[in-house]
Amino acid sequence: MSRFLFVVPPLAGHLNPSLGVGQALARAGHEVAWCGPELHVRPLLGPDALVFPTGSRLHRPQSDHGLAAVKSVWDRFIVPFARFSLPAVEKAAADYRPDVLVVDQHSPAGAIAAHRLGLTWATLACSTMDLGDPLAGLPRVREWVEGRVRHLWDKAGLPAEEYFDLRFSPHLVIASTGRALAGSDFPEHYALVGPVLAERPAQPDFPWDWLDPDREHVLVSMGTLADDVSSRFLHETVAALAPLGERLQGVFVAPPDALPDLPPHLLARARVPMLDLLPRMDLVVSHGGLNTVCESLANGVPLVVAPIRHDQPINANQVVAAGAGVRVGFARADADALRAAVTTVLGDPAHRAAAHRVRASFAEAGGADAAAAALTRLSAQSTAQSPVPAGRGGSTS
Amino acid sequence: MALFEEVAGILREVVGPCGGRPPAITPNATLEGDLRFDSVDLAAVQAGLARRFGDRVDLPAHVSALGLEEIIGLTAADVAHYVEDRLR
Repeated sequence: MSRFLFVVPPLAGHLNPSLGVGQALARAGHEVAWCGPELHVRPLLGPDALVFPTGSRLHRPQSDHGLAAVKSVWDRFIVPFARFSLPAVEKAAADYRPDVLVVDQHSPAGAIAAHRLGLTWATLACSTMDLGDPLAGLPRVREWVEGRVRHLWDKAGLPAEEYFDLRFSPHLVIASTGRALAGSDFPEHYALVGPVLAERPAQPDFPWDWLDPDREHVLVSMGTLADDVSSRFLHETVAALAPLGERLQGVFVAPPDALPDLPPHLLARARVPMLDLLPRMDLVVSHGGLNTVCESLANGVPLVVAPIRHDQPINANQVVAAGAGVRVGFARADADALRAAVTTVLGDPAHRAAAHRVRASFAEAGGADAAAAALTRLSAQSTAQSPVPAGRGGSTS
Repeated sequence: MALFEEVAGILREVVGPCGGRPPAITPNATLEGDLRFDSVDLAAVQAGLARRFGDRVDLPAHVSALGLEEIIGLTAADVAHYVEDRLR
């Protein structure tokens, strides 16, 4: 049995995969604890989980896109949150003494703590923004991002000669995507395990009887951070689907009062039981968040992707390259373009066939259990190699 | 300004009608912020520029050499200046 401490950010898209890996480790008999903003993680983890709180910092919802969004996610979230949470993360790691620290790729405070305390650690990448080399075509932008990581290292007072990129553990990098999307050009210590699905308690209900088995079904989900900017897109999508009531039903993940007066074949719900709903869907229209993309493809459901920011354009291009859907312009696509995209994907069995190929590849990758197995192997190696952590740790409890 | 008008026309075609009216492409309009460009749009503009001005114009290559702030701040006038430079 080993002890694992997860360092997580207050982002739903990152918390769900972390939770899935943590649950798989617990099922295998390991001890799991969490370090993150309790306000965000407690509702997901439940009352019995061991949480080392970091406190919360106001995280303003981001309404920009493109490189402005890359700049703001680093300058307004990753860097300030890492600096703010570092003392709490270091104390949690010193007190709990995990065999392995599991560090969300965008919570670099965990990587700093691991290095300082001499702990074995793994990176958990829940986004493709820093996976592979997506900024290869923009070398000066890539340098800018590297500069932000370097800034964190320096501000933490770590020795310059020991510098390494805090986004990538030298021991193990787990990514919640698969080779069918992200390719296979990764070093040996990378584990692309496919989507990591967590058991999610207290799922919202859904009017299952409303689904007509004789029509096709489209789910429109534009993500948790995107509400502020998605209004135009959602209304165009309603207009796109409105004349298609003979052949399909559409479910919008959106507050019902944001989409009033829907025709009877369209439905808006603020929350849906995503994992139960996806097996009944024929198409997902999405902003291209990694979880939505991978969960859809894990069910063999093709996509229409309208990327907004961060890793979404990368994910959209990977879906297109895999043949499992089409990309449309989030800011541009009108009802006609969206209707054409929807009917193209629904009408062409090749997209569904490609989505099924991705599903098979994901199943082979192993998901949460494969991530847990990789972490268990890492723990066994580190115990064999260095029974006593070497760092200048603080107090033990 | 004749060249700017030609470049603006190519940009306008990619941006398309927004809410039923053609968008104003002013010299100060930023591609990423004001015109909400993504990489697909950039490729479409390049296709238009190459058709009109030839292969010497390679806007994606130009953008790829820029820094973060320069790309965020890239305006329609900057694109026209770049094209002008390449045609010299």
